[in-house]
Amino acid sequence: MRALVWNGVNDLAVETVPDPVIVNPHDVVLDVTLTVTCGSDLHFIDGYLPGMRRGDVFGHEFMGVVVEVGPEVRNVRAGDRVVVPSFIGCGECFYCRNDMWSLCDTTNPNAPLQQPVLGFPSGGIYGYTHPFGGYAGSHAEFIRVPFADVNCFPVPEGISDAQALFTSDAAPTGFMGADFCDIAPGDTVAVFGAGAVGLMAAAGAKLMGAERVIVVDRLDERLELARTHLGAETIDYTGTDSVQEALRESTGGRGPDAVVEAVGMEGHGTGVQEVYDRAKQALRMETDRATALREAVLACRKGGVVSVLGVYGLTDKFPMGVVLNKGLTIRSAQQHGQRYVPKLLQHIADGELDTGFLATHEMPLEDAVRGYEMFKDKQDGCLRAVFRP
Amino acid sequence: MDVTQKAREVVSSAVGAASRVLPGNRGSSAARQTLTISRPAEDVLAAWRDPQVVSRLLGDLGRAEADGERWTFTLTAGDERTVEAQLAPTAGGVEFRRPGAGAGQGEVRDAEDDTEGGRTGDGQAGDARSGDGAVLLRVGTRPAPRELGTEVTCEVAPELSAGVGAVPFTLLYRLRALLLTGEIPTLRPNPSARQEER
Repeated sequence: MRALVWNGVNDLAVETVPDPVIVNPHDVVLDVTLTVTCGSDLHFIDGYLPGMRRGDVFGHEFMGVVVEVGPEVRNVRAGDRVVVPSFIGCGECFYCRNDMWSLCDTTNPNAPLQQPVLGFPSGGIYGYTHPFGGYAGSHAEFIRVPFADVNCFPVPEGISDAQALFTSDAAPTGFMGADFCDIAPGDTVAVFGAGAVGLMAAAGAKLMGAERVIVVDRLDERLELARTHLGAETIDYTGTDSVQEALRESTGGRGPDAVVEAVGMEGHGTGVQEVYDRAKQALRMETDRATALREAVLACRKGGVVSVLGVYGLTDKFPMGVVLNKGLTIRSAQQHGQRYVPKLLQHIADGELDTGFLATHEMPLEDAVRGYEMFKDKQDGCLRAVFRP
Repeated sequence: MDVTQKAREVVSSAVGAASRVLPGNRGSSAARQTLTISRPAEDVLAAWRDPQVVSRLLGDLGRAEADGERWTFTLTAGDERTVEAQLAPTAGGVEFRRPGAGAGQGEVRDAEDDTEGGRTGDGQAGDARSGDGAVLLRVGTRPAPRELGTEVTCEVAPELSAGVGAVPFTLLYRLRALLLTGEIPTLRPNPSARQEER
């Protein structure tokens, strides 16, 4: 089959690789219909996240049609059109049973690689480095999905592939981030980062009852999406001396009740701090440019919630003193997609949620290298590039 | 200041710190890990008495065959070699002893090392980690609190761990996956563009 593979830092190619097969009895194989770029892929493409091997098939946000079914799969049949969360759950361990699916205790074949770094390993994920499992990713014609009964969600008729696709990762991640904020009616939620995850966090915050949602970014085309599709207020941080001040002033001096950070380790910023982080990251003295994370902590009101969705490695200069003295609650996780996918599909079916506008560019898988270039460099207003294998 | 001495101290300190954070490493021969498995102790111990299951847990490390209580471990990490062992019950566990070795050899360890929410070190004698030749592999169980199942401790001798502290964790991780889900996560065959996998 054809697949997009990682051959080294900033070295991608579409190549012919072996087809996946059923390996374990709860597996299915999907014919991938749509698969999409994600900002977290850029971290290993750019060489900041270790653990990729030359030839790895990557990609983790996808949907498809079931073509092969393992002998112990009960709830999924060949021909089903399904969407699959990026983290793989087993449905049986303590964490899956407590709806914390990305923390699954059994699905990471390379857990021993991760344990020294995290203390306790995460679940496995498709196409996202070997410490995270080493599974083949979704930027391919076919993909093996373990534990299909709990990881495949049938897409109801009336919901298009383009709408369903983002319930694989961007939408559940964003909604989880909003969920972490414990939103009460009348709350103001600020969202740092107007990528697909940030926009879905903003959509989630609105649906959960936030009175005001303020999205912060530097790209006008993305801020425009936040305004027109979500009814959010926006701040272009390049046009203000201090986002913290702008948020404080616009909330009567109180500050937002919660801040969602949806940027991650390759965030942009302004001023001396930006120069410092870029230099240090370039010298591999830190893995993260944590500008947005620090700003989020500073901008949140006292006693508020900072919900961290951005992917980070090892961050230095984290303002723990600010967290302590402001009495902040920090909440974070890789997405527990299985908790949210059914609700999200229902929101889409009910016309309460639009995810289709996230797909700004669509192209054949054969053009995926160009798609990642467009996505990485944000060419032509690219928010997400969707591939059709 | 003696720069050479200072450098030695720094290196020694760094090595010491690294050894403290590596899984299962509490010294040159340490290889022990505890995981909690939400299954009864009987299920856990039944798995360790089944050579086919133990072979699945070993995976790349080797395989096990049994003739009654006499087991043969074929270790495939590095130069392939076989190790004979006798399966013997212990209080709440099992151990694989080399022929001629009696119980009770080796050091007595204290309760320590919280590895994944579980206490380890129950004062049993004959530490597999000590490399004293008595025990190749030891498994101990105790009830976990709040109906979480069973705390399972696995200790392996240096020759089985091949000097890699993560081996007990790997064995227990695979065991937990197998007991909870009926399968062990695997990447084989995992499509990629690597030539060696074609």
